[in-house]
Amino acid sequence: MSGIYVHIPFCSRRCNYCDFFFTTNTKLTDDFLISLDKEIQIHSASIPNQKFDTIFFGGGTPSILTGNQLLGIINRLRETFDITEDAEMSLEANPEDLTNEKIRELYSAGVNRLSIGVQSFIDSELQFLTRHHTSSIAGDVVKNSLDVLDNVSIDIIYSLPSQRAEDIIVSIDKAKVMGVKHISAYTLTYEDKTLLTKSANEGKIIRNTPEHEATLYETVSKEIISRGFRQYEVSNFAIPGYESRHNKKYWKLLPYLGLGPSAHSFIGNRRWNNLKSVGKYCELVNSRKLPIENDYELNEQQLQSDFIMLALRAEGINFTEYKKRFGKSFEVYNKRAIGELVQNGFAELSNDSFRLSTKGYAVADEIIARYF
Amino acid sequence: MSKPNIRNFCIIAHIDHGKSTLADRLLEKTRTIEKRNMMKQVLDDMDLEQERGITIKLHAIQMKYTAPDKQEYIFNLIDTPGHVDFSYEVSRSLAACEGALLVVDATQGVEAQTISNLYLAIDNGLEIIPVINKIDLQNSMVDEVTDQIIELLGCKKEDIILASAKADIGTDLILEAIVNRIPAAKTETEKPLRALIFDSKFDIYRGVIVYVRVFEGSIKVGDTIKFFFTENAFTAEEVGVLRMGRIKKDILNAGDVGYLIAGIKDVNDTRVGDTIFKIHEPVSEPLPGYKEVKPMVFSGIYPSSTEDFENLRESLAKLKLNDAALSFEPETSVALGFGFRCGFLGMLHMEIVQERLEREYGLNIITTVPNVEYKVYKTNGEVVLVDNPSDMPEPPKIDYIEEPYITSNIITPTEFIGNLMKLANERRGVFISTNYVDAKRVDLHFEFPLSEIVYDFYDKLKSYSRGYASFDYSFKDFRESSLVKLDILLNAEPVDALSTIVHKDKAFEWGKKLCTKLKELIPKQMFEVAIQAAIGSKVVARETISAMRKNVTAKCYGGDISRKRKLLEKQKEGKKRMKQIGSVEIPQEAFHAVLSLN
Ligand SMILES: Nc1nc2c(ncn2[C@@H]2O[C@H](COP(=O)(O)OP(=O)(O)OP(=O)(O)O)[C@@H](O)[C@H]2O)c(=O)[nH]1
Ligand code: SF4
Ligand SMILES: [Mg+2]
Repeated sequence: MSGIYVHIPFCSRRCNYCDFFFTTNTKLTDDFLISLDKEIQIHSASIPNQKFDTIFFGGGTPSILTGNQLLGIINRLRETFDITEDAEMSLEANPEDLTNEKIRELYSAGVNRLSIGVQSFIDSELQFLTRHHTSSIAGDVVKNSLDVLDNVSIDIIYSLPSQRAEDIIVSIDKAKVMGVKHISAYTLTYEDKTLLTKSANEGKIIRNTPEHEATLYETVSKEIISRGFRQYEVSNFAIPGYESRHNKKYWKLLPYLGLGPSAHSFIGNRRWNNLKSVGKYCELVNSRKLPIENDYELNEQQLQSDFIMLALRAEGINFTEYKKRFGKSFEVYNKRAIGELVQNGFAELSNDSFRLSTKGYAVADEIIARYF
Repeated sequence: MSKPNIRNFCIIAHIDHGKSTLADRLLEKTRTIEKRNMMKQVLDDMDLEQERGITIKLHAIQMKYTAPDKQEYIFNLIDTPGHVDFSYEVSRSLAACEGALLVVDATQGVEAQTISNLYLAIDNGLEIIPVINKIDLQNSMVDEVTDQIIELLGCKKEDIILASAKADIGTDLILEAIVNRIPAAKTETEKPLRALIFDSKFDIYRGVIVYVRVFEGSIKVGDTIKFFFTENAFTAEEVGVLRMGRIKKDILNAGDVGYLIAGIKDVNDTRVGDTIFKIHEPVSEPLPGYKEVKPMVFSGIYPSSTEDFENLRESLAKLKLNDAALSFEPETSVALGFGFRCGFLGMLHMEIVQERLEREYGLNIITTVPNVEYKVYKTNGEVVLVDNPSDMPEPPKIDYIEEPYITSNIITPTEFIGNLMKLANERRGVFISTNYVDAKRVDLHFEFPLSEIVYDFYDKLKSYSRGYASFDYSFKDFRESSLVKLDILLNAEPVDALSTIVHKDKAFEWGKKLCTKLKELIPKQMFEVAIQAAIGSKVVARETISAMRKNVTAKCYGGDISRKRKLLEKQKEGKKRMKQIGSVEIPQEAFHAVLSLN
């Protein structure tokens, strides 16, 4: 089964830490939707034999769209591609967009999973992150969403300068109490060319030391897990059964088709991504060309190394699956690495799989670079 | 055609006094190089030379000079380096010449290598033409420097040419002096061939190219020739002279400087200083040749990846053709695998060899902490030379150890004498004498353990004298010293490539500094790393690198796996450049941590 990702490249303004691709020129929305429709049509011929069971609307801010606009896209997707009846349909939403009416519109358009950009339930932290909502709005929105649909996830950003573990636990607790089913908890990342990074470089804000960040990471993982969630990726936690089916496609090296500017795709052994410009995107699509920026084929060795990298960041490597896919046995080829990592508490080994522990997740990049 | 009037000369001086710039002017005046092809220090044709602004190799070039009286001359010029580490290039150049331009910077005056290179030239019986250069500069001290030169050479004031290589002052006078004062090369073409190899290099298309000075007889294409020492015979395929490139000729005659290509593929078949003769005109005596150079500093050079070992061997052999002062021998290290122990004339020489291996031969190498050579007297009466600390016998087997001493001259303005005495004291120097060069400058004569001056002495000397002192040295003898071997252990495993030999009184301090430095240089690992310095089984210092606790990208965003993979590949590349010893990954810089200790 494959997934579909749709990139909605609009935000009302830019948050200080964000380096995603979008534009604030929302006047382009109609043009974009027409072009998106065309892109879907172009793909109808080029993507045969794929069955899809997830659709993910990401951005940008997909919640900027009206229920009708969204319905239009979903209908077109269902007309064009073979999509299962019970497909997971996720949508990323900003709290300030989610009026009760909007929630119901989205739901009736087919959205059955909401990923809400809460980031924090503490107002000063929201201000630091230049978000537009307050913690009380976020609380209401989460509650209202849960009244309409059961599968609600929130994003949390932590490791803000001088943040204490207790501060984050406030947000975690609140999520749990309200009945949120899934938490994506990301440490604040200082991406190139963001205002946040600029302030840090100018010394206006002070980054946390890796030591402090490590402590926060450990605490956050422990606290979320202790509330009944299962960690199934470096930064992702779910009440069992509520894992994001779509995101797991990325992590299990399963196929996905990306639509919209800057969207990434992986089908067959090919990876490609669309270019990052709404204008150029529309222009190309309107002349019936795919708006692709990069396109390349992975060789067997790259596939293997991607598989390992992604699996180790997530639920680990299943030996049977690995053997089926690559025709060799992971556990035999990596005996020494497995032994060393398990012995030192970085990983856990079971009969048929090998996965990182929380301690291992914290240094996953190092482990992958060093051992695999 | 009348016999050519040949003048063979080199340009010698202390570093940076303007040799290569003067060469530029001579080349320009004789129209050897067209103006539009002219660039600064045009003979410094290695990238490294241009980048660093210093001459590393001798460079020979031929010019045609037409004197004011319309008489034509052939000049063979050799530009030489000024830095001590390349003095072997100077001595080889001198043997191919009859005269030398001794350049002295008008703002600096006589410095240490002015004197040492002058003595080399005098030993070779060369006619000296003193030139005071840079007289265009505001702060030039022509009178003082004139006095210094008169004092040094015993010449007359009129013998000294005042010049500015940069502003093209005095160039004509220099050209005329070359004609009038340097003896014409002898042109005994009737005698059997005797030619001196003064340099060589490896060319991928032509094999070995040797640079020769023909002293007697002649050599032409097709001649069967033989090398006196290596006893190999070859057929001369091509001979010629050196302009801005190689210019083919039919014949090289006595007096000429030029090149020879003879299908020599094996780099071991030639050696500089050897004499070439014709197989059917055997000669009984070789030309005087050169003194073998003795390396002063030794260090291990290892390929970063083990499969490059053979490649490294070949590259070193080819490089040695062009760098006769380099020596190398295979060695093995527990930590680094198979590599070579290389000998250099000094730290700059070592650095240059390292860079040339990387640039010209595309190798990725690791070099270890440099050290000097020790003479170890064992209790069983054996005497061994140890140029690698890990070869040092166990302490109970050692009766005593001797270390090399050098004799040195420091030339400095008098106001820095106090500072320099202090520096000498810190470096276990033995004061011998003071000589006044003139009223304001002295020549301080010291003896030092070589190990105390190889690393950073030169920088210290400059900072203790605000840049004014200069320094020259040569090997003196071996002397008994209290020396110990200081080992470094990482997580209790000794790393042989990090062992050093130090004076007993300095061992504790060094151990501590070295551990601290290594802590800085070795990145955090997934495990805690204990760094220990030990003498025998006694640990004298310890540092701990705490375990890395976080290294993970928070977000693998929207299926953009390529970005993540690129980051990972970069990280893996970084790791490739490290050496894994036990479970510890060590970056290359750590292997010469000692160098940045002070
Ligand atoms: N003002 C002035 N500067 C000069 C003159 N001659 C050389 N220089 C400068 O002095 C510096 C050193 O010149 P080089 O010609 O490279 O000196 P060198 O003696 O060949 O140096 P090494 O080969 O490294 O020993 C350069 O920056 C030159 O531009 C001169 O007559 N006047
Ligand atoms: S709303 Fe999301 S995509 Fe838009 S700027 Fe903020 S973080 Fe970035
Ligand atoms: Mg020079």
